[in-house]
Amino acid sequence: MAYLECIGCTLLAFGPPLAMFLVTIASDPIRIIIMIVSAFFWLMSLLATGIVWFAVVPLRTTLEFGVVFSIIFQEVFRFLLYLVIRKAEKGLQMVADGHTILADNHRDMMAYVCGFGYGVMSGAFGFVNVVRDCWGPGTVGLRGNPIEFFPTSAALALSMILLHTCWGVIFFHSLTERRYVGVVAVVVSHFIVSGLTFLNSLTPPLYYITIPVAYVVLIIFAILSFRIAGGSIAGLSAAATRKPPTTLEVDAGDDSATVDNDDGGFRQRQMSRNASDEVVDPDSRRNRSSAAML
Amino acid sequence: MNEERASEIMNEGSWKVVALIVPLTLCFLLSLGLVELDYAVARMRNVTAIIAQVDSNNASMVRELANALGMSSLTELQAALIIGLMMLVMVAIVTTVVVILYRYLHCLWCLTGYAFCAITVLLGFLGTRNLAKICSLLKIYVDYVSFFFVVWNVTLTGSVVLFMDGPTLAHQGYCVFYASMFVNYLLGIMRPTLILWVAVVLLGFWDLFAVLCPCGPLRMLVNTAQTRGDMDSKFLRALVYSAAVLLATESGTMETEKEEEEEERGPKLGLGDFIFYSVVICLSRVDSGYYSVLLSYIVILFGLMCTLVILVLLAKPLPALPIPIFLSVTVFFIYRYMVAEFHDKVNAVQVFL
Repeated sequence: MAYLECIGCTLLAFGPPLAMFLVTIASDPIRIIIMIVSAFFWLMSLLATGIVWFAVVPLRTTLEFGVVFSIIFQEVFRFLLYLVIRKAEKGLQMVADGHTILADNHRDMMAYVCGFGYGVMSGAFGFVNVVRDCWGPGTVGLRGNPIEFFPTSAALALSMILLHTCWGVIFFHSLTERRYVGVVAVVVSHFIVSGLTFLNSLTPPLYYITIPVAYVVLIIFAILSFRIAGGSIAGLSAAATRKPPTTLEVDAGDDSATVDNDDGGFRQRQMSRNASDEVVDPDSRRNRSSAAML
Repeated sequence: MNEERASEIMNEGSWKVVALIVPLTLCFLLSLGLVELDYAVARMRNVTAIIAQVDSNNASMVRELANALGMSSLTELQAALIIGLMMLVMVAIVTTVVVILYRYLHCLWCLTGYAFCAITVLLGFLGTRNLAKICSLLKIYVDYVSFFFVVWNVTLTGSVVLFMDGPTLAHQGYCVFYASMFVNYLLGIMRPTLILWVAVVLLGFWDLFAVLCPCGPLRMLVNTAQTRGDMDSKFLRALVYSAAVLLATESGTMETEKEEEEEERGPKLGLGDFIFYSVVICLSRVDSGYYSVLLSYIVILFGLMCTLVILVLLAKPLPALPIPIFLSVTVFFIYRYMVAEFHDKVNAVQVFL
């Protein structure tokens, strides 16, 4: 019984991200590398939080203090990551004598990958040990603890992973465009979602507030990042029906609506660019990439 | 055209990095699996008693060391330092002997012969150990003849693939297999784990010295091998720690370029590097838990990527151990002693950061 629940929860939390990884990231080595770098930055933010929490002895019993600092550090490190990525871009262009060696939509792409790496680490660090406990032996709920502990944790972890992906896109985009409303929105919504999870620590936990709020915020930000990245509904249906030109854009037949929303935005963006730039010639892209291979 | 060329180079370079990440990940997973196997066997035998006994043995080991050195008592850290230094001295002596034999006496055959015997014995020994564990865990009853038939075949295939010819995939597979079994063995004998932590850090320093210092033995070895043009000699292909080495990691996608470009090869990582990265991963598992494993994994990959960037910039042999090892050990101890408590509390009440 424990095994079943464990596998189910793990797939609930990490199934959609796994699909996103396989479809959008695994085919490109540069994206894998950027994802590792962004994961590293998330870890650094966690360490910074831990050190501050450890150093300020009188506040060690209040968890809220640590969580506030954690959010601040995460956003600061996200900004640092943005600076590093920009710097790396410039360095690459210098190496290539001013030629652009990255695809024209690489900015949003990198933002997506960075956000995804951030989110995966965040979700993993909220959930891996829970999975470990879930494997058994033992049963939850013996001492009046909520028996929904594992599924709710999984659902929240999934929402955090997807939210971080959207936040990454919006944060980077609004920094590039110098419209700081997006940055503020990201920080504020991060505070809201994380802050509301404190309701989980009450007895009994108020799951019926935290989970809907997290997913509503997720849907709002998914739509926002979809718009920002240049997606439209027509393009989405085109992406769903037409056979896409490269493996990158192959529709995975995603298992949940939220993923479709979120990740379709990225796919769609590419479709719309193709359509506008290269006058609906799905093969042109393939030709170009095969030429580069030869 | 230039543009395409540049993006091609970029893409190629990053494929090489990924081609290192994949075998490393497999090696880590296999080592972790063996650690879990140990735990499962211990659980099955239901042996808090045996664990207590092992602990007291360790304590007595420290005491014996103190007696041998003529000191009244020794803290764990002191013992760890002494044992780590002893290990370091041994590695230094062995590497120096190898360099002397290879560079000045030109007797490659005796080195190859020695390494062949050593690897065969170790593979056989470690294979027996792990297969026996698996059999006892699954309660499979096997007779000696078929047991040793399997072990003998696996072992000899391994030695032949490592030292003579064989498919690249089999070579890579055996490197990973051998490295993770060796890590498991090291974890078993080097208790308490503090000894291994200290030893790993000391080896990082040793690597720094041996590769970068003009008189460093590994540097001399690599230089000699390059001037003689036998970087691919069978001996160098399979040496255990030290110069050891070459785990060819060209992936299938790079075959096409190989025909065009002379000397186009993937970055090489010593078998020793595989072993000591995995040691850090397994130590994190044993001492703390899966968060630390994840932490060490990401940090080691990041450190490796930093090393590769520096490698590209400097274009000379670099030690692969120091940056990942120092980074991951530092991060592990910060996490373990400062962050873990906070993190566990946050997890327990389902607050998401």
